[in-house]
Amino acid sequence: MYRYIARRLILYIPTLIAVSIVIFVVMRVVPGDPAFIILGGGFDEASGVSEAQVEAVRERMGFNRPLYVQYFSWIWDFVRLEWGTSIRFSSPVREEIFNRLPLTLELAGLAVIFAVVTGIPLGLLSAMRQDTWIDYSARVFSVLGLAVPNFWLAMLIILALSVWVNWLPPLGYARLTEAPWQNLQQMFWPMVVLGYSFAAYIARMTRSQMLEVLRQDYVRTATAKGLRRGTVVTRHALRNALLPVVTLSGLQLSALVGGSLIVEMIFGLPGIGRLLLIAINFRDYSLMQALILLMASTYLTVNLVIDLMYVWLDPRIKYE
Amino acid sequence: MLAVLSIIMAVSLVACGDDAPTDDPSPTAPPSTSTPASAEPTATTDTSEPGTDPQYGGRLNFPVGRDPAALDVHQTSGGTDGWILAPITAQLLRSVPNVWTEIEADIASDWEVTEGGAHWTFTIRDNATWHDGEPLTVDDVMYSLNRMYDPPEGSRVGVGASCLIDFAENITQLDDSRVRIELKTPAVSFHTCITKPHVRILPKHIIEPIDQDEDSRDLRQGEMIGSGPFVFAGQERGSHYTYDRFDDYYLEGKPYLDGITYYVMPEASTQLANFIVGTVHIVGMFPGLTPQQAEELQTQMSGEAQVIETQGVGLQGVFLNTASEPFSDVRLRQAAHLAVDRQAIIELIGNGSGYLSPPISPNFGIGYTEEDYLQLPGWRADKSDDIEEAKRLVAEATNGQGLDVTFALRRVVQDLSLVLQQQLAEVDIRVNLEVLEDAILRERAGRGEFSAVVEGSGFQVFDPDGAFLRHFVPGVALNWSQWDDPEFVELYEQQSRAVDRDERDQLIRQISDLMEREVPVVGTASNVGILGIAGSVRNYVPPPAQLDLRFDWIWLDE
Repeated sequence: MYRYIARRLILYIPTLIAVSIVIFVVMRVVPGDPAFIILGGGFDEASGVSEAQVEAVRERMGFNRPLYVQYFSWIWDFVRLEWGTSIRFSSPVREEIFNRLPLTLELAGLAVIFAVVTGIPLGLLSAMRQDTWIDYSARVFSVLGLAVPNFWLAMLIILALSVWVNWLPPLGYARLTEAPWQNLQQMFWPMVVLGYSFAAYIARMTRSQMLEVLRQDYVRTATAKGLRRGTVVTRHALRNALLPVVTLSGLQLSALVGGSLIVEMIFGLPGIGRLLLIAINFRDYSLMQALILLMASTYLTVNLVIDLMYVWLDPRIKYE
Repeated sequence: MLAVLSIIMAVSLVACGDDAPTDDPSPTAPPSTSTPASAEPTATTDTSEPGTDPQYGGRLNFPVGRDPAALDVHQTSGGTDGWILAPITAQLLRSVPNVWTEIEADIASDWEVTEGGAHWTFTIRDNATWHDGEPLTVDDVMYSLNRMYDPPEGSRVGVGASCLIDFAENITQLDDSRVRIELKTPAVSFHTCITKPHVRILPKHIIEPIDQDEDSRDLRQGEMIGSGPFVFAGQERGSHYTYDRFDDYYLEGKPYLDGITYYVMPEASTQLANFIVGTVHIVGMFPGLTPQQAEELQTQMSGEAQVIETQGVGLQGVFLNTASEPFSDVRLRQAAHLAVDRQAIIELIGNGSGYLSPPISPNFGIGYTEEDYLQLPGWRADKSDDIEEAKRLVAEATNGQGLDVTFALRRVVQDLSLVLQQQLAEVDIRVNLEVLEDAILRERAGRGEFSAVVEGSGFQVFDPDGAFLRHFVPGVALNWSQWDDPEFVELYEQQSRAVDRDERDQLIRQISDLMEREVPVVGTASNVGILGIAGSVRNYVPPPAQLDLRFDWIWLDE
């Protein structure tokens, strides 16, 4: 068990470093001079920009330093939460990100909860009622969830609400801590959109895992001992079947942190997905680097936590 | 219902293909037949509808495509920035709301133009206060003007007010209530600079410490102090900006609204859906509606909303690099101009709704009219002679080899570029389209590193000088054609001093003729702008360019 934990921890740090190097290099390689953009601002601004001015900005921003110096300076600043100033918004990058992060985390969390609460029972039911209309319905639901793009579903929901119900969620994002009811109204449909495809995946995985586990000898033994069906499923089969689901949920949560862009755009939610799009379009290097590294770190950290949780979830690892 | 569904689905599909919003959406306006704004003081025009008394109360909800680039209006230049930040602040002079082609007093209660148009003297009103209760004085005006005229080094201050640098020679305080701006040369269109949305007066007591001690950083929420009709009440970046009525506004009896909220909605389909439901009052400012959407919306919401078509004064076309091959050869530029079929563009891109977009828009109300242009080679509907002449010019310039050239463009003009590619192929100009991101195209265009750029440009001044100073005067940053023509410079300077309207009209026509010969840009055609305005909104006529929109003149009848 300890070897397992140590292996995971030892791998985490170099992976994070490698990711940061990739991010740094890609930012430097993509076309577009950040110094020019800082001075030039919007595409059609009429301000004149001379080469001397560009050089002055490069000097001030440290773009003239050797790459390795820039890299270590960036990493050191990142660790100290000194993420620089946004070119686009002229405000601290940290402020922009932390202002929007709670929304994205809330949305991702709600989507995962929705997916788990919907997908697991559906998969379970589907497995227990294999080859019945319940099973078929659940499988159609799952296939649709995997096939339908979430942006299309989002737009469909928007137009259905506006045209058939003549109602849309309240405008103007309200924080959960300030106006919880309004917040939940605003987050409900985005939660459904984001969570649906994941729910479909969970349902399919739960179903196939349950079918496999239910065929195991120990389950047959438990049934032969006279245990009720429900007890066999919940106490003996389900926990084993859900191991992959736990892994998926954690990974999906971290993926949703950066993957909710389209839904944020369509529902008008000011999350970090939209912020990343703005950063990319305006070559806001400070903002881009901080966001991407943050997302990558989140993904790796969640991955690590999931791996460590397996020590508790899967007794086989404890005895390795 | 199904029709409305199809509207929104169509908008969705279009939106999916779009880039992130441009900074300056196409300006929209009713075609103006009024004379351009006069340089002399005019009385405030009563713009209320006959028989309709203003009503107090209600909040205007307005969707915008993005956040402002900064809260300090002096550090912004985009049209959307100007819209969002306008209600809080004020200007020396302003465009008369709903008329737009005239100017009226604002913070300056009076003004005087002397020395043949070279001296502009403003008298600052004594009844204006800032939202924090401090009086607005001539010191504030001087500080703001000088801040834009001579911005702090290394800052973005003044990016939207570069016209002050272009026009002004000196800014002087005459006494406790008067300020004078002396121009480098007399300029009849200087009023367009002063009324530009980003040329606004900010409080010295707030701004000066930030400039001196904090490198002109952007303003924070508590520093959003202005003298405009609305007070900054709060923001949620990426979501909304809220303003409340300012009871001590210097224009007595105004504003009529209790407040305004700008909602940030990048998606056109979301804006449209909210308009249908009634949670926003205006749709189509950014982005605009298509003709089919407008038709269906009019059918579905008849009586509940107005759907109006407008034309702008911007320029949409191909900027040809006149300083390097191949378009340093005027024959190839002329050939490209002759080959483009504007009527076909209007049919294909605008579904039959559109208007010509020459370098000097007929919608300025001066110079050639659209009817005049339709008689000219290149612009006329019958293309047979134009195509033959274009082929001849290309053959002559390329020794019969034809021309291979690359057009740089952003994704938002890809449809237009595809049509141009086909049309130019007819005259043996083989175009390779290179779609670039904003940031890359911005950098390359600024350095002249291209043969041609397909682009649309919105203007923030309602005068031909807006086009000249933006794209054609040698040395301006957006002179993408790298055009440097002494004859144009001379005519430009003459027309900018011509007080007599007929004289100026003739000079501008001469400039148009020169541009038809030299073709620094191949103007094409633009789609009409289509707006949806809720039936409860009263006394609102959209501006022809990206002008001041502080909404102190409109009311809601809910």
